[in-house]
Amino acid sequence: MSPRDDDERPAMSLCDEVRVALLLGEPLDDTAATHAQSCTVCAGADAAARALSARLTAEPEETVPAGFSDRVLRAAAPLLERNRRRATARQLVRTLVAAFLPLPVIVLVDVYLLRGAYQLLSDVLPTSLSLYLVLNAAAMLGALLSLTYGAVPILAERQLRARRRELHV
Amino acid sequence: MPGEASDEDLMHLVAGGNEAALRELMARYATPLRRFVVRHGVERDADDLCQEAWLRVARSAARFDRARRFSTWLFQITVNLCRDWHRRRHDEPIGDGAEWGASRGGEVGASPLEGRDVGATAATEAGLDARRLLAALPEAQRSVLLLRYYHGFSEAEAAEILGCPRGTVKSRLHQAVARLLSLERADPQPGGRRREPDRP
Repeated sequence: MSPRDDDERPAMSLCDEVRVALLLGEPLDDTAATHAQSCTVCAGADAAARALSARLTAEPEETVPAGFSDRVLRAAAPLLERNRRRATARQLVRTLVAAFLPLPVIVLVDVYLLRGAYQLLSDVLPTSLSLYLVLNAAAMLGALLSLTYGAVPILAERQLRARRRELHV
Repeated sequence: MPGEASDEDLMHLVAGGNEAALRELMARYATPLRRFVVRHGVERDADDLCQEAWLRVARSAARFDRARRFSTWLFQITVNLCRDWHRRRHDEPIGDGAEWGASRGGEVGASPLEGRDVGATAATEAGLDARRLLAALPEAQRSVLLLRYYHGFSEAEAAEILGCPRGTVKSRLHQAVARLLSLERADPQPGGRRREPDRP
């Protein structure tokens, strides 16, 4: 879209509108239709448009050569394979981001709960015993989180593989 | 199922590397695309140019905006390839009508009648077939005529494909039709029929 494009636009007359509409087989709007009925230049426009249409359609029918699709698909195979790899990688990254995004919140909540539990336990139990119990709970939570998040990439990869199979059926 | 999916859904599958989706898109558009390319004057290299268009579709599938129509995007790629082809062929020997203008030091695809008396050229143009009629138009006008007349694109779609304002599409089409009608008047042929657009 350049300023030059606008400069090359000439004033368009109603006769132009009529000629183009007739060639394209489009209906004339009210103004153009009224003009077409009264204009001597447009009087023979329909016949001229039909004659031109005949010329433009009098061409040999072009068909796609046999084997063209196979040739293109063979040439496109590396591109499709690259698309497949990229789509898988993108999906994997999205899944991992979605899975790991809430992790800081989970850790913060756990820390907050453990601190609360430690304070409660310290009121009724000896400090060392409270610390031992809270550390045990913390270790268990840590192990559970590691197991859960360690499984995310494996599950995501497995799901993507299933989706890829589905796409290619 | 690719057969029932929209073009845009199929493009999403192509972006995921689906070969069947690309095959389905080709089944829908390979013929209109080839006809466009040939009418544009790229007869000799039509296969290679069409193949390159489809490879670009596969290559850029991930960047395809699903809010757009696939057909306009595909034809945009093809129009650009045709322009490049004409630009590359500018200095080469002339083979057919499409490059006629270039041989006379004018714009690529410029009218063979340009600057000449219509009456004097009527005889020369007596055997004009559809391809030579189209070749008599400058590239910009030819592109608009092909998209609007043969492929049934709307003014807005043609403007999107060609990357120009709608007013420019309109004026180029008017100029193209006026020029073709003057050629037709110089060498009339009887009869006529309306054409169905070459688009799935």
